[in-house]
Amino acid sequence: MRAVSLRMAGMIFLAWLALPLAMTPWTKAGNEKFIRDWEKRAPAAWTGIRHGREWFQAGTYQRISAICEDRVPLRSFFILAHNTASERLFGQDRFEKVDVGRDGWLFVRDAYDRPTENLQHARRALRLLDEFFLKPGRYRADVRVVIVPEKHLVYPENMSRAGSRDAGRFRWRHDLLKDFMDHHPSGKLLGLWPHYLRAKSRTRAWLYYPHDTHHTAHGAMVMLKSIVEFLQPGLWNDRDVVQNGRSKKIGDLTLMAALLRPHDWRMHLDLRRPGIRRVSRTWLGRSDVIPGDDWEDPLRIISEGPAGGLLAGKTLLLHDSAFQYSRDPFSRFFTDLTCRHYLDVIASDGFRYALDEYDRIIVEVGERMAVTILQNLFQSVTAESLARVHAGNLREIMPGRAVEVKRSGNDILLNYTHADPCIFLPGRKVPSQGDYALRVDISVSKPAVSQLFWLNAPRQTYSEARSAFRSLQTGRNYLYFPLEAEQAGLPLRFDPDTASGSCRIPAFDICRVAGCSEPRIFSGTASPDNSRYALPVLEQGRGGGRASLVQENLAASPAAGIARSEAGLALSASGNDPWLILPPVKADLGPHPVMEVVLDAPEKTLSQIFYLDGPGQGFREALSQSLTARAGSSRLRFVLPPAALDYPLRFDPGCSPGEYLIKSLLFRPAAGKLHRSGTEARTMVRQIYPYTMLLEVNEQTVGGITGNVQAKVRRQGNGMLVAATGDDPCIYLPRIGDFSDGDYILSVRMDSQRETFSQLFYLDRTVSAYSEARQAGRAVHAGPNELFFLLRAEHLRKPLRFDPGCHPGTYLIRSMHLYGAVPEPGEPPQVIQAN
Amino acid sequence: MVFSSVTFIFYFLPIVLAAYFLAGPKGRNFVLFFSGLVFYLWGAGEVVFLLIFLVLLDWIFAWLISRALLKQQERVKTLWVVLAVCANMGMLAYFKYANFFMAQVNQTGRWLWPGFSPLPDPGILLPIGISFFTFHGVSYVVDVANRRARALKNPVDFGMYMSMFPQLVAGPIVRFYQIAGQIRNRPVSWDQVFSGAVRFVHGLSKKVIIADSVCVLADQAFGVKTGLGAGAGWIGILAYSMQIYFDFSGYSDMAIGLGRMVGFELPENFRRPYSSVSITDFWQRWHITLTQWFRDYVFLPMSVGKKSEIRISANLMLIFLLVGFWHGANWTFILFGVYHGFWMVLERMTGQRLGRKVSFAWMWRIVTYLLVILSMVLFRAGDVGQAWAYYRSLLGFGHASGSPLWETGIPWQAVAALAAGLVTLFFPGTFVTGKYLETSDSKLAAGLRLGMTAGALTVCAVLVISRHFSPFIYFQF
Repeated sequence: MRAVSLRMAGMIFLAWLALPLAMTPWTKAGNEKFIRDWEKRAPAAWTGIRHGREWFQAGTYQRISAICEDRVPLRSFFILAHNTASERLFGQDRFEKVDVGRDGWLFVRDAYDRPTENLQHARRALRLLDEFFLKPGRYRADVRVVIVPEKHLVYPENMSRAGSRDAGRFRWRHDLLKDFMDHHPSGKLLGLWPHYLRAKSRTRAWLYYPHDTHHTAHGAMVMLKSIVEFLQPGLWNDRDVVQNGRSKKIGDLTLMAALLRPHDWRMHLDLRRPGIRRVSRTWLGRSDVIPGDDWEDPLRIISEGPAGGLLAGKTLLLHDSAFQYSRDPFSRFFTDLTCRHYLDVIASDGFRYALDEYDRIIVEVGERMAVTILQNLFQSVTAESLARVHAGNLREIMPGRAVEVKRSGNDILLNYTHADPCIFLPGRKVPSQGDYALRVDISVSKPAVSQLFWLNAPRQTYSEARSAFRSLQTGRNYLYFPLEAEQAGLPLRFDPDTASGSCRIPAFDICRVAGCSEPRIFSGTASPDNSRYALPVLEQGRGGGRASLVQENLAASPAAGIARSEAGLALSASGNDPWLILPPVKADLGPHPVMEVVLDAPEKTLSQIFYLDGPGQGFREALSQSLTARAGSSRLRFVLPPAALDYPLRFDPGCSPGEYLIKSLLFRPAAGKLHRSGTEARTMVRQIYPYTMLLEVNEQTVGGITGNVQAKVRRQGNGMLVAATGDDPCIYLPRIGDFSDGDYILSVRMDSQRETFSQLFYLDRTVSAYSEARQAGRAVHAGPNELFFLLRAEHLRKPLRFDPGCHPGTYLIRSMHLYGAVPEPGEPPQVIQAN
Repeated sequence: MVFSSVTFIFYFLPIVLAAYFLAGPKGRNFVLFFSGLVFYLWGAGEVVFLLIFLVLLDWIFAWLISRALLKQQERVKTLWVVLAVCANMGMLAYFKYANFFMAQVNQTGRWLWPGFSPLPDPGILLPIGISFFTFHGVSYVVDVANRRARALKNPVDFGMYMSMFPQLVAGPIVRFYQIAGQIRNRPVSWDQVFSGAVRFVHGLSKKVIIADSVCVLADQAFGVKTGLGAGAGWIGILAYSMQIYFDFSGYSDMAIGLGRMVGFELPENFRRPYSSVSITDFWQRWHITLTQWFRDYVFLPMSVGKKSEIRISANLMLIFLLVGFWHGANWTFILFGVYHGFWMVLERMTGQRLGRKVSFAWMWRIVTYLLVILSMVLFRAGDVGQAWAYYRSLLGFGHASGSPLWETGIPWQAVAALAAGLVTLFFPGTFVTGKYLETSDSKLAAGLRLGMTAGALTVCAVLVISRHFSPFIYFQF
């Protein structure tokens, strides 16, 4: 009996042992296919051993172990079995980021449990928003902010006890937002929470899916209705909503927690607005639909309809996942709606561009991310003080007749005993480009009217024609007086009131407004051919591999507020894990690329760079390097594996709370030659580099290019000079040729004298005349620019038209590169000369 | 690499077993030696060269000792033995204790002279398993010197003994003479593989199902800085006692099972320690190979000849001080050793020893268990201050501000595992589950054997594949 049972048990053991190796295809591709086909997930990328010394590094084997663990066959099913058993047998109600609530409802814990966030952060975010709405709008867009509630706030009764307790702990965030919206005078904020509660009480249909973070089609319609009514009452009609199908789908939280849950039946609703017709629907300037239409991709929908039926002008919807399925229905209310993920413009230059480009901007902010989004979006466009007069430099104020200026604590106290009191403030030299304002933080004891006088030239006198009034309420007021650069440079006269009295002023600030400071470029100093690296796009809270069933994404919430200052990029870390994501560098910097950071740290700390070596991964300790940063300034050099540059990098400046300042950040080969990367975060920099250069248009090939009557083209130095005599200059590129189907990118490096707007027009099989329907536009800054345009092969078969700007002046086109798809390994890059 | 990891179970082990059986009798030691190096390289990286260096060093010393023995040069032999022991222990002292000693020097210096400028922290990383393989090295040279075993001619054979992956990083500490006879000549059969497999699964279940589950409770309790309530404190310490026992004994079972698969009979390391009726009894059942190593190579040489009771007690105290210090360079471990040494001496003086039939055994068992788990606080705490705070909490002076154990909901899985672990306390003292499963010919044992292998292995596979990395506690020593 003993021997038989031992043998049988042993054989069971050996069978288990051999199973994975027997099941797994032994080739890399076969193994990946097996995982994709059977488990519907992306396998961890294989990382080879590149250098001999890696054979003796424990990290190498940790990496291999991680891959082995990830790639063990049917891993997802094992996790599913484990989690399901834990839930059913032991009543476990927490699975990583997911809470299991009552009746099997699932909630994402991140929606309420963000311990790195605190009241101070939230208040700062709201102050920035407040300031943005209160200052004078020197930009085109009418900005509206929509706060979308989280599922647990609408269905608290379905939460688990632990979930309710956690949510209660963070309830202050919701209360703060709600209170702010209820009392904000601008009328530009919409909180959807009460709308959802009202809708919930009226209908039995769910507004959120039980097993998903997102709202149902009913919920989406409640959201759309609320927003449309908010923008223009009377435009919405409930009868326009029609059902157009049902589908079955597994909830994203079910996947995230790896739990056994039934598929949700999903009803689809659409809006059929009579008389409204869609004219075009484009992705990134393309009229055809990219396969795998992703809700995070930028989408532009142009519609036409009867007068009054649509909201006119260009509208930008900055959204997160709440609009996942609602972009099309929403577009039925706008003549021109562009939908983008908010991260696309979270870089300050992106948002500033948007403010000037669009007539209307609607920002969807989920409560979960509200603090982060508001802080990052609006800090870039609120006033930045360039010069300040305060109690410490009181003598700079010259009082007028019968005005007494004195210090009271940290404030300036003005006492005036006669009517028409005034003081004179010194002017401050500011850069000629940009918009400025005088910000006055003033407290008065009775309603008053203040007036600012400015000068346009040194010898002018103050006059009513060059003045502006602001009315003051009792209490504290923030006044913004817009100024030109020249006006800010000359003395200003400020009349606090028209009658006698007193006021208290903490400070006068000359601020840069209507956008942030110019995008700060980090530059190195090691050699003259140092190139610059654009400010990183901040991607707080956006982990990779969303579709992955197994959660290996970023677990920790970011704890860094980020701001730009003259000295660099300032990070205010409230927790011990601040980080920021750098976009892929995508460059060949030799076998030992170096990332060099000059960092000011508040105390001795450990800086860490995380990198990836394959797609679909999350950052982890195994792929990271640490260096000690001194208190004060340190220069840190991280030598990275070459593959790391193909993927985003995560940089943790330190491991303790405090203020960090990144003074410069550059990438270079270890030998010393530095690399340049794209400077436009909002263009398609990320998509460009995997392509191989096919065509180069430079000074040798100007002959093939002609200009229209407003553009004279000639060779100049190392580029092609386009002298524009009107506001519609354009050049025609020669027909480039027949290329195989696929995506191509045209890159244009161009110097411009001023801020303007470039356009690339293309033709396809069906048309032979250039039109606005077939074009892509890019904002151009004064100075050097690199612009990217996505094209299809068919567009290259006919001549392209490039409008370098929409202003007279000169444009120096330094190079035009056409990039094609990556060739097969081993095939050398193909370079084709134009002509 | 840990035994309870996907990489080991599903990739490393099948490949090594296949290579081992394909290699034939002559190549098997090489396969084990090489696989041991790969196993070590996997977790320790370049430190593998330290292991190779020690292998060569001890092999040369043993060769020199055996030559001296042949030539009957007693003093030369003693010289080589002393050098070999110093080399091994010096290596252990440097890598394990240099940081600690430097910190003590700095602290004492600052205390005596306020202007003392501290010496730099050496920042030496502890090579994994060094406490074990240096002891193996000492065991080899001393056994050769004492003529208990012969020196191995082939360095691969000796390398295999030192680096054999089942016992490389966390024991059992196999004294050389115990397996000297098996190194060149050992039986290899499928029956042994099957028997080893059952033992391996038994150990895997202990580690994965019990130890890794109860650790949730222990981690939560010991993770509280202030305000731990007495109830939570006791639950935490109970959980930790279960965790460490099931973790380490599970590892030992897996090691013995793996050893058996490749033809070795490794010594037992645990024998129901929580059923002990005294501290003396406890140390006969807990980490047996460690205490036996100290007995053979330290205590007995010190106690040669007729010694007074006081001298023997002092030796005993010293041995336990060393046992504690062996576990780690920390005052908590030193106190742990002193604590156990104190009870051992007390029991010796009062006549409460192993082998003596005690009345009210269940009562002594509970008392002993309580005494043992109280020492576990020292074992787990990061420093003496934390241990003191924990003791205060156990006595109700922790200023409890809530019960962190239930803060995130009751972890029923951990509670169930704790209950299952505690049940073993009530088994008869002579009943050893592993032994019963291996040797019993009864139908019940056969059914259990099959059921455990099929059922527990499935559960373990699910847990191993789906859980995160969980290293064995004894890897840190």
